[in-house]
Amino acid sequence: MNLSTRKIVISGLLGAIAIFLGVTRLGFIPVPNLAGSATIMHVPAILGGVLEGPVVGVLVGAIFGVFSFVNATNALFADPLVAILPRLFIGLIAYLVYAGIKRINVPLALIVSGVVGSLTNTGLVLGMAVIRKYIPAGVAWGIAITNGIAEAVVAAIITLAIGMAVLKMRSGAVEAKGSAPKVPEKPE
Amino acid sequence: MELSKNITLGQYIPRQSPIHRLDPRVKLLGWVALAVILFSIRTLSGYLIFAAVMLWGLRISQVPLGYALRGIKPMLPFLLFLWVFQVLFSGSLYPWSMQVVYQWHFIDIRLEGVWFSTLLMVRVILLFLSVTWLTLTTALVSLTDGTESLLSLFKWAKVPANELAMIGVIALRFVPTMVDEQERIMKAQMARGADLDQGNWLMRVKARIPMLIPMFISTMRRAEEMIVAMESRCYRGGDGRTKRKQLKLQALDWKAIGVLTVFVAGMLVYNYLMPPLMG
Repeated sequence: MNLSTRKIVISGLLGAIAIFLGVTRLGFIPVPNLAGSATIMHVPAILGGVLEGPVVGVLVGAIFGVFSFVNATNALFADPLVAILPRLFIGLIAYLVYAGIKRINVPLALIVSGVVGSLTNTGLVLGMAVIRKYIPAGVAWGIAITNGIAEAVVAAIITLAIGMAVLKMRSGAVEAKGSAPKVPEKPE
Repeated sequence: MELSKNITLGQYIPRQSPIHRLDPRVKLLGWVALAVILFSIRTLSGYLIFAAVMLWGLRISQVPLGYALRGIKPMLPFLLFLWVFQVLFSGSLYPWSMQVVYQWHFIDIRLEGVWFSTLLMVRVILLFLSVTWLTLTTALVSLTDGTESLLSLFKWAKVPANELAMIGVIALRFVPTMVDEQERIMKAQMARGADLDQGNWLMRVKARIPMLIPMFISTMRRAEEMIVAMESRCYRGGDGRTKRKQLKLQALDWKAIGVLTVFVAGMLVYNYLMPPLMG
């Protein structure tokens, strides 16, 4: 497997955002539900998949997963099968959804991939938690409905806003101040 | 508004202890071994032995115990929250458990449920302590050196060891920079009248967006600059790259490997001999 400099840098920086959202707790938005907060720490993984493709999406998801494992605040995430494995799929699935819909409408594709990527996180993590017998299925459904929906809405809003802003910046419609001129990818 | 005050992850305390001087590869593999052992323990006495060994380890690393324990405080509410859930519904989690403590409508407390949930909580705390121990005694640079060296064992499977280590370095290196930058963005937006904690949750989500967008945009901009900077310095991954500092196992490392092997083997035998729940 060959990783271009571009993929390395963008995975690293989006991973840094995921960690940053976690350590500063800015990634937890207070919403009225059981756990008291919805997370947006998985949004960098969604954006990685959408903006840079599946490899970056998986790598950012892996950073997010490893971070939530080593920084586990409850028994669920102290298990790598719950903390890391499901997170690898967030960016991958977000990418697939985005690639499928973007021909129709880019903003729509961003919204849908935000929702689907977020639900991938909720569904796989809770599914794994039930399989590994940390929480009963009834409680998992409760969290899925309250947390999952709130997180999907938040993720869709943020993916749309940031996705559009980055795409605009790249297309040159908004001049990125002080940024270096775009250098074409070196031929492999 | 201090974003940086609670961050203990990745903190390093420089000391001259034997643990600090260990080869990072030994420490990383040792940590993995400890984590695996932690997951195989099913008895309270096992956890007590493990905790005792870890306290001893923290002592010889000359890390103040209070400092290492400080990070646990913010996680306690989450731990208790999950514990209460697991206890209340332990009937459906452990249906084979016969000893009913209390039953009322959907609440179904079983003795094993209480016991297992408590052990699970102890496990999370010990896992957290072990991670803290690793990062407090290992500088980030040697941690990534060790990771790269261990990953390069998988060269045959075409695992890009250097590139993956580089991603990790970038991710960890930029967190403090982002914290600084975010503090500036938040102050700027608050000076313009932004209000983070008012209104219903949808309004609060909306209030976060002007904080987050500048953050993501400046990160993506920085990424473009970094790509150019790295490529113009001919960065091309790990192929053919040499290192000034070579990792080599010393006598101390072999000693540590010996102690670890004995401990791991001992714990495995102990787990096998002790029936769960009893000890």
